[in-house]
Amino acid sequence: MIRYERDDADVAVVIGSGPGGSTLALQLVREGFRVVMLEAGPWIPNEDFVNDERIAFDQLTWKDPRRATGTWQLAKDFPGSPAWTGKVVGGTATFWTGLTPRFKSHEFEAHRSYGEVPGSSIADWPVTLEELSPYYERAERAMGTSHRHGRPPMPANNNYKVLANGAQRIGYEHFATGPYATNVEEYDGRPGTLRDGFCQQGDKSTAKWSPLVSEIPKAIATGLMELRTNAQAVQITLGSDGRADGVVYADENGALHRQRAAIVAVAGNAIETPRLLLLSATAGHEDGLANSSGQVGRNYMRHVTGVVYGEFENEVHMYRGEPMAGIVNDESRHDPRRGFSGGYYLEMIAQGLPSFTTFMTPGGWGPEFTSKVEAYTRTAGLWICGEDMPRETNRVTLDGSLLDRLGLPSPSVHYDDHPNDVAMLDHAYRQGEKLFRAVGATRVTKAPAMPSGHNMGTARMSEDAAAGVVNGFGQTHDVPNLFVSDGSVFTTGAAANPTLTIMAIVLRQADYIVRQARSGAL
Amino acid sequence: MTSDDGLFTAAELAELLALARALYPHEALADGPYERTIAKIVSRASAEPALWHVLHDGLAEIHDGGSDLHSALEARVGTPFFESLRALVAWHLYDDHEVWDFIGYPGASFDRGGYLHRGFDDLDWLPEPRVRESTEPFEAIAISEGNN
Ligand SMILES: Cc1cc2nc3c(=O)[nH]c(=O)nc-3n(C[C@H](O)[C@H](O)[C@H](O)COP(=O)(O)OP(=O)(O)OC[C@H]3O[C@@H](n4cnc5c(N)ncnc54)[C@H](O)[C@@H]3O)c2cc1C
Repeated sequence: MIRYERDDADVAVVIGSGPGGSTLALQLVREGFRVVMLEAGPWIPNEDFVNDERIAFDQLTWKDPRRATGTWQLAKDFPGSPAWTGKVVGGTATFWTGLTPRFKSHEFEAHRSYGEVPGSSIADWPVTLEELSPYYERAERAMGTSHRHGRPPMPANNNYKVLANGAQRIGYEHFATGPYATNVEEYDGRPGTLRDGFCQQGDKSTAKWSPLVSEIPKAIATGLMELRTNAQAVQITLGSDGRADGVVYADENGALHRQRAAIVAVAGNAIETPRLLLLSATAGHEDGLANSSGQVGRNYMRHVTGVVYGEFENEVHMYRGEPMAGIVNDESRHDPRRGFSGGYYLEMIAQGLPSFTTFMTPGGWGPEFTSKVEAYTRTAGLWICGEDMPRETNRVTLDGSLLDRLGLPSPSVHYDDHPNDVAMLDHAYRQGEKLFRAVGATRVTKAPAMPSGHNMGTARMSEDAAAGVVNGFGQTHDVPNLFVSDGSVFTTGAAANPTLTIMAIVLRQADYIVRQARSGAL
Repeated sequence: MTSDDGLFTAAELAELLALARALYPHEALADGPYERTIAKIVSRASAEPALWHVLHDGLAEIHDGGSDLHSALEARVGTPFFESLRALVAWHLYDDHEVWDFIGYPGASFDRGGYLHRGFDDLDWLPEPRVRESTEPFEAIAISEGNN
């Protein structure tokens, strides 16, 4: 791997090695740019992943202190864990599941489609589905997602048979085993899945797409990218010309280093990204870097979510096969007759016994609880994923009373449920229950949200520099060579899982950076 | 038997075991997993003064109650004693592989070739569903009778 000097001032520094950062880095090196990627976590090769939920959590997760406040149930159930994100090369996608639906056209125009939603900061994106479509296609091909561009559909596992039959019996039509970013058969030099489950613990076989098995090795192989692991960015520095000129980061031992940069892109996911911008406050940017709008950290979204479990007389063994290769789209439409704006998906979910007992009823105990545990092999699960309303007051701030190992303030995530979120969740729980009852569930359990895997909105896109942090290309309004390259830029959350859209937006951003750099505008 | 470091008496250890069973009663499950669970909690408490203190005080107090253990626990929901003990028992008990066997959860499958040829799709009490996406049109925005 190439090594750059710390005072090489012509490199692009990409912060974070998840889908956002890796997608950008690979495009840039393919276009001949020199890239230094900083990743706070270690490189863990696939064969070192451990298919044990607790060991894997410990190995792959961002465990630095965080705080959850607000009316969301997470603040009560898991006050120290608002989110479940990775700190490892490949980011959270080393243990994501892999559903890759696209956002719908009207979701990019949420304000126009839904009208005013009081108590929300709903707005239209400065990007349309039409503009993103070619990038969606490229992202789908990069991941080799099932059901798309000639990739075969994922076969049905047991859990899917329950979900799909239930869906059909309550009149749904739009269900399938994907699109799902795991190989059914060999693709891109990686094998088909063994249906071994456990992808939320890191996929040992490499059948599941993640940057660790694709973008990162490809970018390193060009000879133009240096990846520095255990390198946590703590400040982005500005030159006297108002442009970003470097990144200060801490190594494994907490020692600081500074890498010079011509371009800086932040892709730390929607909690760490605003945190880094806030930590980078400096003269002229007293409220945080690129925060003249005051929007950095605001409009935090995490999807309307919860889990429904159905218990049956017969065996299910939900842990076998792909944990999330099943999706029901029927409720993802916008239909205000249901009593709320926006839509939601019902997605298959499987958990091992340790996670099941932790999340099925947080804090649960006693004979009713244990009777549900004893029904584990006869239980099927579905996960609700719907559009939540952005609110300025739902935000990531720095908490000076909670310091990390470097002595830096930790992120505090405040979230109050919007009435639209509550109405949607209620509807989704009822439909989920109906679905499982329709195929004979003898008992149904509704579980609250797990720590958020989908994190969005905290550096929102807006054409208007006063109303958002970045423009339609993820370029900050205040600092022309500073970019945000993750779900922080989402103006609204849409109903779909976010990763495909993060990648599509970043692919479009990469084209823009290349154009701007070549024309001398950057 | 008293714990080696003298921090818990034999009666207290027996009480902890009974409490673990009352918290997570699996009637047909042997004592082994509960004993290992308590051993782990006791060992942690011998290195964490705050945990030892909470457990010790809670045990002394729960003795005086005299009611059945389930009701005694119910009355203490929300107390540091209950919350610490419950969380630790759940954490260790459901991580115990004898419990996994008892429930029927096999754990990792990779070394056995996953479930590709071992029943990932062996559910036969429902019809085989469609796995492809529907070709029916999808109405992304419902034609509303409302005012939107
Ligand atoms: C269990 C689970 C299942 C999921 N399933 C799906 C799914 O089916 N479909 C879907 O679309 N999405 C899914 N997601 C969400 C998906 O993982 C994320 O959307 C995606 O990983 C976001 O990519 P990212 O690059 O923005 O951030 P991440 O993948 O989180 O990567 C960010 C990286 O930046 C690093 N970093 C952060 N701050 C710094 C810093 N200051 N300096 C250096 N490095 C830093 C982190 O260590 C991390 O490695 C799932 C998430 C979870 C938890």
